[in-house]
Amino acid sequence: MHPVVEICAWPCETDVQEAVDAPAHLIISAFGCELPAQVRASLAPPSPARSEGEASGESGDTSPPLWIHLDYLSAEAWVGGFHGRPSIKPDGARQIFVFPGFDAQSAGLPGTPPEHGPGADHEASQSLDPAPSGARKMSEARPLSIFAYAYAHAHLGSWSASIARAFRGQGHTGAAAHPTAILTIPAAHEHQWPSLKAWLATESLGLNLLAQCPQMLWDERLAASDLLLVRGEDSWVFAMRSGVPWLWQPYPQEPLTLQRKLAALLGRMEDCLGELPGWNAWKIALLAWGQAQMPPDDALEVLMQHWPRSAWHRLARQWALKCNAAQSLADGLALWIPGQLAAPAGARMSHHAQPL
Amino acid sequence: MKIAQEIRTGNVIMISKEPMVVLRSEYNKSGRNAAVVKMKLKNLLNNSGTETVFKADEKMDVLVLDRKEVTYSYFADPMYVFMDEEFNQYEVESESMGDALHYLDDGMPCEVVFYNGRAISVELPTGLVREVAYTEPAVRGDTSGKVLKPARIKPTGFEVQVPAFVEIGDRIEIDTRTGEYRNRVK
Repeated sequence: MHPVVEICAWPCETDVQEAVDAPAHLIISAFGCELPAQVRASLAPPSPARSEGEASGESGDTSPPLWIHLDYLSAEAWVGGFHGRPSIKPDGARQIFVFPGFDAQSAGLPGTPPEHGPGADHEASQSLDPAPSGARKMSEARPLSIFAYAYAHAHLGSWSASIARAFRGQGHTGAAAHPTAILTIPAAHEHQWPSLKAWLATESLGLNLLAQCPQMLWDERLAASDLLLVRGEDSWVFAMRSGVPWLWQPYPQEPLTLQRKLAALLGRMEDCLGELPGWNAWKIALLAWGQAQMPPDDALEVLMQHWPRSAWHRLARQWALKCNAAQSLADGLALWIPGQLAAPAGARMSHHAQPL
Repeated sequence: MKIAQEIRTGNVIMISKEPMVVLRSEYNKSGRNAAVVKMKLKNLLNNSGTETVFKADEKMDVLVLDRKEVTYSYFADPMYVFMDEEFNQYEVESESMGDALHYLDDGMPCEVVFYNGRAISVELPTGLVREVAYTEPAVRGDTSGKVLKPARIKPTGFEVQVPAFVEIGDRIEIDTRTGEYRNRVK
């Protein structure tokens, strides 16, 4: 939880009138969400007659709440041009669009640095440690722990098998009667891959089904894994900040859009990692996993070399350091919102006027 | 009523009971098939400008205005001159041309939009075909991971992102609402 933000439950439907009668100072509409109709209607500026009455002292504070639309995270460059812009609705209500992102033109990166992740205070050095954080100590007998939170069109069985083969190729044979690797997936996703168990059997891999659990436990499981195959936004951000080697699968959408989102992320990562060993192999793997293609065995072999002191660990750690050093979305909003609330409604503009 | 993603450069929309002409419209997919549109608007009552963002599915009132089919004729600084079938000329200010400047070509068909008898903007067809003036050649076996590359189109030099297989001299169809490549035209 953020130190200056207290999280409360949204009033249930029967309490909506309460939200209208005693409006909040700030309303955040997260992506994909719509405000209850009564709350939305209350955001329109008062009619001239009502305003005159209020101006004559018949009522108190007349400023409507600061209404923010919080959008998805994207690495694309256009985000900077859209972030912080006002949106004036036909009824005169005013909303401000906030876009998370990777650079100073955006609102910042969601999430917080993991407590013991790269860049955390306890880390004495941010050098490219030969055994970076994110690389769990591995005895030869311990199976590789893969956490997969993926969309159904991913070739998860094939990828798991290829990763396990590359892992074994590094001499990690596992103890007798133990699997080389254990794949953890949410139990609710098991039906997505009917042939997954058959795939895992061919490479002697174990399967662990994770029951629905609180976010904190979910994050702990991610942090305790050796390799993260993630999707969407929350788990993706967690993976990027963790320093654990990862691959990301964007939300399924038309191919050109998906390719643009992947290319934008890869471009930013290349600026940071392009000179480091193993980057090209990670890029190939990111492209293939992100577009639900079959696993690139050559690239995976490069990435698994010298595990757990692999180039992949160093790259993941370096990217995590960059992500964790940047301003977080929550910190940025906590700094920006008080200034916006203090401004007259008509003057509430963008971070371009008041840096977020 | 139209939704924001259907609003094109040259349309006039009502915002807070004031007519605003759309000078530029930029459409982007944000995530999970949601999309957003940024519009540069000019208030037709006081000529003030603003830049706003909408969710692509937000509904808005579009004023139905007089319009004429014309072709682009010539530029007489600072006005762009268009001509209809009866050789009547209509002048549009540079700042009101919006994205039309990206695709402007001699004889280009389009529509001029009028408000109170004044030509205020130009509307383009949603799709236009243009020849690629320059793009980097695709490299066989390229593993750089790039999925799109920039291409400059004739005659304006406007840059469009195209798939790797597009070559110099290819004719490509562009969505003028988004500035995005649609397909290669044989």
